[in-house]
Amino acid sequence: MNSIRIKELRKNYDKFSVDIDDLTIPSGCIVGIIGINGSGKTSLLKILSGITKFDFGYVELFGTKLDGLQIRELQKIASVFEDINFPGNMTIRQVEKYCSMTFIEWDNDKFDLLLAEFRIERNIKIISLSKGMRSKLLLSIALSHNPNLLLLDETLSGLDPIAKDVVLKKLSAFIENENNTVIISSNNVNDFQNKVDYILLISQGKVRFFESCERLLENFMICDYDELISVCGYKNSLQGVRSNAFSKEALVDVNKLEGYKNLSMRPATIEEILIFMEEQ
Amino acid sequence: MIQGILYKNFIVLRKYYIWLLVGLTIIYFVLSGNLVILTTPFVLLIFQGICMSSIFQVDDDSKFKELIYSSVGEQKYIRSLYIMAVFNMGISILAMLFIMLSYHVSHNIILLFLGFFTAICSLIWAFQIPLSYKGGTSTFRIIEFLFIIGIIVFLGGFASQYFGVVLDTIIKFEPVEWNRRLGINFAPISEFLLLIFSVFVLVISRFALIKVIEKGSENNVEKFN
Repeated sequence: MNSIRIKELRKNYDKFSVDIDDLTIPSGCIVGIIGINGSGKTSLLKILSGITKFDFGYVELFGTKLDGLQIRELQKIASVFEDINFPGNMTIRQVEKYCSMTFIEWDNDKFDLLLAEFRIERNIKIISLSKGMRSKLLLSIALSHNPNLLLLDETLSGLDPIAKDVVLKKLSAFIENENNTVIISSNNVNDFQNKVDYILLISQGKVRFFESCERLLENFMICDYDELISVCGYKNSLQGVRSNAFSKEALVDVNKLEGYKNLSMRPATIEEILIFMEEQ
Repeated sequence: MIQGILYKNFIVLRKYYIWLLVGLTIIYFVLSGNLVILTTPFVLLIFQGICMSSIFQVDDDSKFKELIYSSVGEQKYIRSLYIMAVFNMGISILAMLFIMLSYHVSHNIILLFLGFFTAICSLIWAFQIPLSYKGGTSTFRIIEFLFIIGIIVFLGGFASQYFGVVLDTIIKFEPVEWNRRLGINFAPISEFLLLIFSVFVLVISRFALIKVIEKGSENNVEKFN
């Protein structure tokens, strides 16, 4: 089953636009969105969460048009954005009361459990929360209203390694239900290594690729650029080139490369794939 | 769902309710008769303005309204703003009535004050509550403004000329006399109903406009498909 289907989506901003021709995201997986700052990661997530209205195109979530979602269906999408927050003078207890009044399927016990796990006290005010604590609170809220789609924007960025591990375990548990999907963006792409099922690379508002993480790490390799030229043809396989004072390296897709067994290569990390493609 | 938004707004505005209570108490006990009657409406108007702009500021600064849009949709957010504005106006009208009645101000003057107060509040809302800019066109804003000016003139004139008669009838005469004077008072009562209807139409038309705009954007998507 597909959780998201996008066709010819267009959203214009002042000096930038999100432009996605065709994208289908299956359910029951974690999708990591990567891209440099200002590439359109947050804009895409805000469109999917219904916060930003798009100018043109078609977006379908769980088989229903995004525009036509009723409130119960809208609340099946949970989003955590870096820049969105509760008013500073509200306490956690008041936030809980707000949520119980707002969300149809609010689960108080689940929220209490998550607060305890994240060590968040109920009497503190929002204004006194650190960035990491705020992310934990928003994630606790997101998970407590029983969503099917979780949209996380830079949620891992402010977290300490232990909290990050707890969050990633929570996400894995969340997608055990095959109707659930997680889409997460992060500037620190190493967070995604071996933890997400698919990688979506966005560059200047456009999708560069949407690929299974496993396939990506198997197929994308780094080799010496000069060696690549001398040993085999590279035209179709070359995905990016990066040079420094001492060497020039190439990112290649081994599926499109003939005779690559004679080349000395090493697997590329997701971060390297991003850097090579952006430099390209 | 909308209760949650109202609850959050109440938390944001709690301090202003306390300030209003303290302010009105000071005005009531410290100032003399005429000054109290003149000052109270201004204090209440300031209270209205501060309350609404405080909600907007909190929602914009923390982008809280985006959180609401993603959980209950934009319509519910705007509806909550309207309810909050009407609730605050209810508080203001009650406070004004209490002070003016305790100073034995004539009913005509009270009604005139309330009429203008309501009109000014409506005027502020027309620009403050984001229904107007959802409409997007300057023509819509001008029509809306003219409509409200019409209400001001209608309400002010109507209150001073007729409505006092109705109140006098109810307060001064026995129920038997009400029936006899019903014919005389029928015209102002019908005008009063017309006034309520006009305000109702204004509110409904603004909500309907949002629906039309949203429907339009849906149709564009359908056309594309």
